[in-house]
Amino acid sequence: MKIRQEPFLIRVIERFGESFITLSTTIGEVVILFFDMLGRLPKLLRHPNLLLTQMEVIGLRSIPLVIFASMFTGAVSAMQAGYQMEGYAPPSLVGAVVGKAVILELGPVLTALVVAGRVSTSIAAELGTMKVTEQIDALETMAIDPVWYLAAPRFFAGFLMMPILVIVGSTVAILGGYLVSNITLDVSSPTFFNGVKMLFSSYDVLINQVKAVFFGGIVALSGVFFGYRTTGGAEGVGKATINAVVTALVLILVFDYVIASVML
Amino acid sequence: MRKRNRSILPEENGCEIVIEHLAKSLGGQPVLRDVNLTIPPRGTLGVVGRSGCGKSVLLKHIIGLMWPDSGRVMINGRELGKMDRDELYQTRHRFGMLFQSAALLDSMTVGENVALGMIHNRSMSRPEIADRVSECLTMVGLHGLEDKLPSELSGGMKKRAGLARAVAMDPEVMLFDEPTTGLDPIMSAVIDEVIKDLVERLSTTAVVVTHDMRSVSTICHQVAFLHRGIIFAQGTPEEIMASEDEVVAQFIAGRADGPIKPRL
Ligand SMILES: Nc1ncnc2c1ncn2[C@@H]1O[C@H](COP(=O)(O)OP(=O)(O)O)[C@@H](O)[C@H]1O
Ligand SMILES: [Mg+2]
Repeated sequence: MKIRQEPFLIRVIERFGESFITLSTTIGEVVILFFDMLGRLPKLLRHPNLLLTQMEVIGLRSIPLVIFASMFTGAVSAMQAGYQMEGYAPPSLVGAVVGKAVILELGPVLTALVVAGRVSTSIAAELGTMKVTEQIDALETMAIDPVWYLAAPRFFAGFLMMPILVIVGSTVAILGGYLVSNITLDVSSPTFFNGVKMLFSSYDVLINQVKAVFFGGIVALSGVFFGYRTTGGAEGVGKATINAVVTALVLILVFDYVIASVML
Repeated sequence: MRKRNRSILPEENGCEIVIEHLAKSLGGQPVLRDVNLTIPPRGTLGVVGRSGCGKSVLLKHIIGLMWPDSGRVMINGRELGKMDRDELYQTRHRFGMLFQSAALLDSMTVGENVALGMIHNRSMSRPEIADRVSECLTMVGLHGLEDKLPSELSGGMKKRAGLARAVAMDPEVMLFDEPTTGLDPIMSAVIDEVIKDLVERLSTTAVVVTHDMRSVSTICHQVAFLHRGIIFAQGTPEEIMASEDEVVAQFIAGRADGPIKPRL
């Protein structure tokens, strides 16, 4: 049988076209949701309870997880820095290397990834369940704006809390690095922290915080967006949760690269 | 009972709802094809029809949770689809809806559910709201269950809690989706009485979707029979019960054989 070229090509183009249209409409919907939530900000700030509750749920309660993950990452990076530099550079440089890596990259990315796993999923599952069980519709019928009541507090809480979580994560990671250097590499405290100071720049902290702001927005927005448009029962909630966390992870890595290439 | 302090003039009290040529497809299937229905500003309209014929979909169009593919819903001469968000919410203040699934917010207690609309839309003090919540729950036979979570209630109790929430703000238009489904016969009779009493006392409109022909004859002033996407028959309960149309007669009598062929 002879394979006919044209229909195949046309099919490929069609598939591309479809994906492109789906992608553009999705991006359009995200942008609309974003501005919808932005419009609710004044009212949200007038009654800050909703926002404060979510800042606690999303932010404060993520701190143990962030501390745990950062402690180990810092420890491992110090251990590996010590191992890689053995014989080439003095162990006093471990502090410099760990500090730089944590502030620029590991602190924000790692914190964002673990928070995405915890927060995007919980937001998507919660809003998704409310959507498929008509609880969001019920709010609408009571003239309570669900974008103001549900979506905006979660989004802005993620946005505001991530920079704090990243500061916590970065600090703990450096401490983890310090503990390992001190115990296994025999680096004294002044040596380690002088190393950290040596390469420290406030511009790095700016990059650290810019990443945190973007990652916070990404984590919360993907949870809210996929939760909000859930359809079709328990299976739909499962899909929404997966979509939220996968999108958040992918976008965190992409934006990490973009911010690095713009700011470095 | 409580006095309501409406600022609206008496002649504006009550909503006239007119549905014109409403068509809606869902999941690629036409559900409503050409619904024309006038809901008078006083009295109770029963909407009956087979399961899956689009009764809930029709109700959701009246309060703007779904939007028509074509046709329109007019409320006091204003087209629902042309209202901006503020006007839509103002209109919804005059509505109360009971969902088929009750749609209680499951993170809140029963009392908080009933109070929700009043907290956000009325300038009432906390004790006033608590009194009103208690009054509404007592009315539907759930006295003292304010602090229960929806997950701790039976299906019928959830329905009644949803009913209490729907009527808590003395709405001018009450939309009840199967208020007595899942209730025992005695409780059904009690709920029928509650609905009848509300409609008379507040001299308002109720649209009641129901399968219960006994409730139809006790509470409804008018009945609309939704079949194949149109209002197939409309009249007083007596007229509908006495209808000579074979389709209507088969539905009323609940026979398996007749012009309606149930797909098994
Ligand atoms: N959100 C939805 N998405 C797709 N189909 C729907 C949706 N809601 C209802 N339908 C379909 O519309 C039809 C009417 O549903 P419904 O109004 O719930 O029936 P009922 O008269 O029993 O209340 C059903 O066939 C149902 O499958
Ligand atoms: Mg229904």
